[in-house]
Amino acid sequence: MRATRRFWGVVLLAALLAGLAVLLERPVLLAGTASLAAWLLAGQYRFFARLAAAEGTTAVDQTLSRERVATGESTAYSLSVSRPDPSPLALSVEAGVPLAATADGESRSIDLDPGQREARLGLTLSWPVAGRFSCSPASVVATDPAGLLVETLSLGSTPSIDVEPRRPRNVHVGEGGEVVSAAFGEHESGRSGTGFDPAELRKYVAGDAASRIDWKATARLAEPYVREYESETERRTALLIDHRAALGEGPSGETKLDYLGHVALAFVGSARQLSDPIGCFAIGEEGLTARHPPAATDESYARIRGTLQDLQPTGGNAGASGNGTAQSGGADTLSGAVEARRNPAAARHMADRLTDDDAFDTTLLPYFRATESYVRRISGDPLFGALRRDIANLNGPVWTVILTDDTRPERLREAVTVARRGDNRVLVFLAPTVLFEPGGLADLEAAYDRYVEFEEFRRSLARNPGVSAFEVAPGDRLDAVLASGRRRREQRRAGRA
Amino acid sequence: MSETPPPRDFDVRGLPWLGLATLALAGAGFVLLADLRGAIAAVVLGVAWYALPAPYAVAVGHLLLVALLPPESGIEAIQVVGLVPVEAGLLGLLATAAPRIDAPARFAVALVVATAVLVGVAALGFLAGGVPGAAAALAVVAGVLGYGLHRYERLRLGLIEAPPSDSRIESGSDTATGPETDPTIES
Repeated sequence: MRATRRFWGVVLLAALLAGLAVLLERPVLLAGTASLAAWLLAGQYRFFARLAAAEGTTAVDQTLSRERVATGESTAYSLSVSRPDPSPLALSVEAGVPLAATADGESRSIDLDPGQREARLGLTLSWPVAGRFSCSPASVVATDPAGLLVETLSLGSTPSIDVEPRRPRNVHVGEGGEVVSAAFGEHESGRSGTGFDPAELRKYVAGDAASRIDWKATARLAEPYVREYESETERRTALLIDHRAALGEGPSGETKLDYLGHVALAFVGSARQLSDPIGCFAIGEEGLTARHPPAATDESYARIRGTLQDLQPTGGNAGASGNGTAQSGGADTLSGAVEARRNPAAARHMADRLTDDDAFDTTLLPYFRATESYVRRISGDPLFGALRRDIANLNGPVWTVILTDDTRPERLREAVTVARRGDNRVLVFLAPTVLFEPGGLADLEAAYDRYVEFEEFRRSLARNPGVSAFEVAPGDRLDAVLASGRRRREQRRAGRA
Repeated sequence: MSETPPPRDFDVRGLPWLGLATLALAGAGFVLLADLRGAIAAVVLGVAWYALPAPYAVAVGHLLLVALLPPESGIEAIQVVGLVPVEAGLLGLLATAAPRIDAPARFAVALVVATAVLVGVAALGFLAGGVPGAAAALAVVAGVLGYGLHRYERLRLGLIEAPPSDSRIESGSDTATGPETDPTIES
């Protein structure tokens, strides 16, 4: 128990009486000292007895409405305090809200006056930081009715919550709703020759080196035989990732670019595991924003990973369209401004209004200009331009991986045609716009029709020799659209029957 | 959410009629001690009880006692007949001062027992060392009892935190040593 100023005031009074008793040699004043000291001791005992009773009978309950949220989402928090009997102790109960949470209200505590039996507190908590958080026990401050003593107890349940970062979840990579196996990993060249893994035995033909004759097989078969081995090769991969404004579509942290970036990072990881050379070309609104020619060094893998992780949609109104809140709230509102401050792409969009006339704007402009620096500006379609100039100039066969969306189908078709020249193979990963648009699934039937259009486009790309095309989308949204299509087909069948 | 509680004040008199009765008892003691001057002292005490928190009124009561009793009287000259009602009345003021007393009898018993113990200690101290000895004995015993009660409360309510166990300190090894010699990391 902690003594309050009042307690120490009475102690001082008792000491004063004792001092006077000594000074004046009047022992009767010591009776006053003894009375006051006894009063304080009795008060301590009474407070302790009440506190022990309160600890056993006071029920403090903390609850969170959800156990799992994404960053930026909110949950309802409630704190209820009840005691069976009206106690003379005054209680002030402070909610054990984790530090990572932001509460909407200013007050995080409730008070139970002497005699009051129960009280409740409701808060809306938002979770800006990812992680697992637990509420600490509520801090119950009990105060003696006389205001002499205070004690703090920790009581109550400690619910936990998992706050998950906003990132692509349930990433679907496939064709027409069917998941395909990984397109990356160990790879055979499809040719035989020298290597390590035995492939086949064949008869010796003139021109084969004598060192390649398998003497055991030759002795066994009474004819010279040569053992062929599976020839392995390193695969040079060039990633072309589109991060133009349209790629910013989707909820924050789950945009088309986030999903495509996820796939691109998987390619980098696989290349690193197999020590394959990999390069990366980032396509912005006006040209190349990053250019890393294929290389197989740790530094290059790290550089490419960093580039992919830092990519944000460039130019346009990507931020506003990419974030439901900013779009609905409008950039002119306070909430829009706050959202813009939180989202780099949206901040750039807001920065479009900056002019050279104002000193404040003049100070800010260079920072925003710096974020959209281009390695090389390209007139015309930047994806097409990058393929024609940067990928075509690479020596030897290259596996070209294009990660983009379906907003410019004709331009993409031309780009793929350029990419598959020679022996080059092309992989196209497409994010269907219909599965990322805010409210895109409001009308599932319309969404299914748009998905069918997308699928036809994807198939038309995949029909080109040496070209594979896949869709990259949130699996749950795609399932919802496909389920709608199935329902429609069943209804039609039932109608015919 | 509840509203902000009203400010609490420890001079709120939980049992006003009983307080008045004990005040009357103390006043009667004053009159017995010093007639007219005692009556005036009783009135002053009443005003102090009304205007000040009970502990301060009790202090005023004892200062009035000093004023009423002759300075050369010493302990032998104290008129027990008058002093006992005054002290009982002042103790009663303290007992009835606490607001919202849920177990007044228990509190009163605790107060009387504590007072008896402390007065006994003061008497022993007085016999041993005069007034300074009595004051010192009172201070020591009251301090020890108060601190003991505080520690007992923390122990009973589980509020004493265990000291942090540091195997490095226990083993006496150098805390500045690296991971190879750090037993906490090795384990």
